[in-house]
Amino acid sequence: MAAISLLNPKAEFARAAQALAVNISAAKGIHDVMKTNLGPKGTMKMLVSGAGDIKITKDGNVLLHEMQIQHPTASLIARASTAQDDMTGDGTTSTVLLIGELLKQADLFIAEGLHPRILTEGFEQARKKAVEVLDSMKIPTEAKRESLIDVAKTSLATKVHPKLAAVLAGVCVDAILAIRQDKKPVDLHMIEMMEMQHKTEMETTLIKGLVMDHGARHPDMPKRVENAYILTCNVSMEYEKSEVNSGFFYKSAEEREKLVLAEREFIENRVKKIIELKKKLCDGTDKTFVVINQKGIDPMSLDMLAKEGIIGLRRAKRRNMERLALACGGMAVNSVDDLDESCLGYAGLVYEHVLGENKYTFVEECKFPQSVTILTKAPNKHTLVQVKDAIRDGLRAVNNTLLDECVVPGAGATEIATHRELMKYKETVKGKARLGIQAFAEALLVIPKTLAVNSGFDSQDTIVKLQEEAIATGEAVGLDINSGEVLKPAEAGIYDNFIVKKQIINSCTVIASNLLLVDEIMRAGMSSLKG
Amino acid sequence: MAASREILTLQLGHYSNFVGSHWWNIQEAGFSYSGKPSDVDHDILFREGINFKNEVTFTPRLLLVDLKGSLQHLRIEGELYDVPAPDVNEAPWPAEKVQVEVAPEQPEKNEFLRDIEAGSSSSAAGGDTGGPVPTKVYNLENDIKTWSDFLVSRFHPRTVLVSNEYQHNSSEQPFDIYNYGVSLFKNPDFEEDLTDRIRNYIEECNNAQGFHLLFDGTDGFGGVASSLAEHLADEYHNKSVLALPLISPIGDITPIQECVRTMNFALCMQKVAESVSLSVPLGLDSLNWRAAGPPRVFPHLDYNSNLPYHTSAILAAAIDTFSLRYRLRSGTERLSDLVDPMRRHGRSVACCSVGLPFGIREGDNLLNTLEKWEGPFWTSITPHCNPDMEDINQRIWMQSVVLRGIPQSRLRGVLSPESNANPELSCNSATELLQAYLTFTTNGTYSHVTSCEAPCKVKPPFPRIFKESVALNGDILSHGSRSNLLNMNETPVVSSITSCDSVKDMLRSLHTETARLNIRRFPAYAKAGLEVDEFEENMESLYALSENYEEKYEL
Repeated sequence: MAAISLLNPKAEFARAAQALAVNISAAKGIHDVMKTNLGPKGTMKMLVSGAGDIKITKDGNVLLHEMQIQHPTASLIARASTAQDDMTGDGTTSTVLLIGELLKQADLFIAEGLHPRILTEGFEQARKKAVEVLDSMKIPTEAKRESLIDVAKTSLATKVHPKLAAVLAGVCVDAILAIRQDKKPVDLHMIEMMEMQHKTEMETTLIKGLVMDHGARHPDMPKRVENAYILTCNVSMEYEKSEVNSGFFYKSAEEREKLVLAEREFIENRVKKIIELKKKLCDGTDKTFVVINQKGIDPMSLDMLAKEGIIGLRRAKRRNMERLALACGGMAVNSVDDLDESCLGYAGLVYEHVLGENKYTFVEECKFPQSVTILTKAPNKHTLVQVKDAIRDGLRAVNNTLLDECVVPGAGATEIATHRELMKYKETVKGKARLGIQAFAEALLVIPKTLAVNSGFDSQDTIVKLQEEAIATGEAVGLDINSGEVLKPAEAGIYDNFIVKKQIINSCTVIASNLLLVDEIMRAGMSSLKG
Repeated sequence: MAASREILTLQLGHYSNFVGSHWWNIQEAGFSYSGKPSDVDHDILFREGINFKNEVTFTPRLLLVDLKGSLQHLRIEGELYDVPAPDVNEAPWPAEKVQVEVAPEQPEKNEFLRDIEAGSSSSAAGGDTGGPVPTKVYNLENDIKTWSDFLVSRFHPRTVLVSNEYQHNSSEQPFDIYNYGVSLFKNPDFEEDLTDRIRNYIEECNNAQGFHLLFDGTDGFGGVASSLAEHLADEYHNKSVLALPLISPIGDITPIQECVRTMNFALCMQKVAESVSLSVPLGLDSLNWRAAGPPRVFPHLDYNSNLPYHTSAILAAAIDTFSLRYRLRSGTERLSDLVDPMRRHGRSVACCSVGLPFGIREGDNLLNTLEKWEGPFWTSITPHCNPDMEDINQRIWMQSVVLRGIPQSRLRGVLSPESNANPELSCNSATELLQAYLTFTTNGTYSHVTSCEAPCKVKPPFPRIFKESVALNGDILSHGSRSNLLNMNETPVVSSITSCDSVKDMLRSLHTETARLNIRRFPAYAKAGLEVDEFEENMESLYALSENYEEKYEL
């Protein structure tokens, strides 16, 4: 009889061994679901909703968001893993696997009577050691295109097909390098993501400029201009009746008419000011003029602009105002008074692309673009989503590398090396805590083991081969998923983010320890008051 | 510019989607395919587009939000914009590496949907084509679990937005706290998706009038709505926003949930009223805060007040009717003409009444009906508000009335010479007639009247809630009854939006009920980020809002 049931007879509870069993089985469950998706050779999951909406993915983060996890422990693990993704953009599946494996290993010792507290102490020591080992394996990198592409490719290959990963890796690295200024941290928001349901995902490209998902709304506006001044503004060029109607400012119908006209004129004057500027700068030259407005432009104002050959775009994204200024130069203005050339940006080419009912406007050939657009193309919605998720992670991987200024070898090499170091370290530790270190070391091997299984090889064979080679050469060695043999990640260009690996080790240890230390699960929330 | 007066409709929450689905169904049933354009300008609420097969589509200008798992068989992207399935060989991953996980249960489609799919009900959606009236009688009451079960309209891929963070009807992690909605809107992915879709819709409008904002006021969607209303006021400050906070049927819930519902509603009423042009709360329960009151009574309806399918239909008919003021093809009225005068003196909450059906007797005319009218003219569908035109102690400042479904021929009978003295006889349209009637019956009320010949279409899937004394065209039969085997076709409806001092009673009672609850006893709010001080401040603002309806502060 648990104490809680004296207080609330309807509370549900599970105690001690039972509670632990609940947690461990949940961790194993979610581990089993995710394990087939690890690594470049992992399988995809296609999620089909009752209505037939499709989602195809192998990205652990996406999977965890989509799956309807009911079990409280499993959803706790899922949250920890998605938090991993929020922080670093990668390593979600590894986190789930490692937590599951840590609990599995712990279970063996607990079954033999070891107290969970001692195990977790061992885990903590092992965690510290593992981070040290990881630190020693760092490979410093510079912001060179080739090395960044290797990192991006390693991360992307676990989420999309290798061919596509190669394309996307190039796009992500170029995007970041384009907007990066010396040592300043990169603001990923300055990379616009635009999608077009069109052609195939292999045609995803980087545009050194901006792409907007709307076009000119007037048939006479030019569809393509070169050598263009760009005016970014946040000024309403839309006539509203409401201002007249919302008060009694008039005595007679004529007066009302006058007011209406005056208001119309007020808007017209704004447009005229822009036209004036255009005439001053462009007439007699081959320059053209484009207005991109965050507020609305009504048909009459559009008409005035069209007559002057000006392209007018309305209702631009708020964030695009900032991006436009970075891409083309100039600045976003909030009033059309005192306009001059210094407010304007420049683009070599502005053109429109129509796709069904959607229009896209490309602003390209900017002089020094500090904001770029990744244009995702795919034949259908679910592929678009998949590619977009992948790009987001690729960008994060590149950005992490720039921040860390180092990488660690991938392909399971860190886990093999850490395992070896931990087994050595275990000998130096006294007492039962060494059992915790042993469990931790064994658990780490789940990553290379799963990699091997997913690639169609025997896990024991592979681990033995890798360990022998690691001892023989004393270098970091990883698994070649194509041949099942040993490879050197540095030669194959397989690198992981340091921060990702470190985060995995840290967060998994904490979550696993917390779950192990649970000795009672109670449920007596609001929902159980129902009965 | 009268030609384009677009309005974007936003539906947040499950019950709002119930109401919305009925509303879109009613509108699509009113489409005219016969060449004679309908009185209603459908371009205001619908949009024309082209899909990938170069077919022209006509879909609601609508953005709706619901939780994961609530759509059942409705596809998020709709069917209109499907592309031919790609060749499997083109897929950029090896086919043998794909695991397929199909959602555990395939929802069963009900009889009505199966018929639509089979194409047999083309006439059900097909307006007055003169084709055969569908004779199949549906009894969907038990089959309808969610709004997509009776939805006829087909949506644009941009329309449906599903939040993946919360599960519909979940008991583990319900979306039932106002502040959950506030924080959901703070989630950058969700916010960007939502606001970007709104921007896309508004970008394609030439001269948008504003927004209809339907939302569930009693759960987390109230929080989403408050944040969204703020965003709209900020980004589209010269557009009007008409907010319709909806109160879903209370159903079978615990006392704690009742308190939570009330608090949510109080919070969102206060917040939304701050940023929108006008807010009209709607619900079919007469009291509705913590305890359910008796359901509203309609003289010619027989409905189940616990069934969202029934109650939402009545609300939809009311919304479709009062919104006609700014949706007529012939009119030049705009949404701002309705909302701006009403919200003077800060009276940004109004109430709504509906007469469904408008009780005109079979073979009778409008003049006669009005002259002989007894009892209440319509039924209030705003909780706690009972504007009564007869009661001289009540103040009704302003009302906007729409009467639909009375053709010119039924205006009055043959003129009899001795009744020349009656000024109502000189009226030449339903608008003038009703205007005259309202001027006589009300005390110092400014009434704006709009009339429209197009009746409200109540074909299936509109529920069968009319009493047997209502004829197929919505007239009241003096004797005999309508055959139970036939479906109702259409009905005249009258509906009004009223700014009156009875709104004060509603706000006061909401304030009293909420102030009685100790927010500290509801830890979920604190967990979701609501400070006690903030809550108390909100309550004070709610009280201040009610003071705007005090006559003594007129100046």
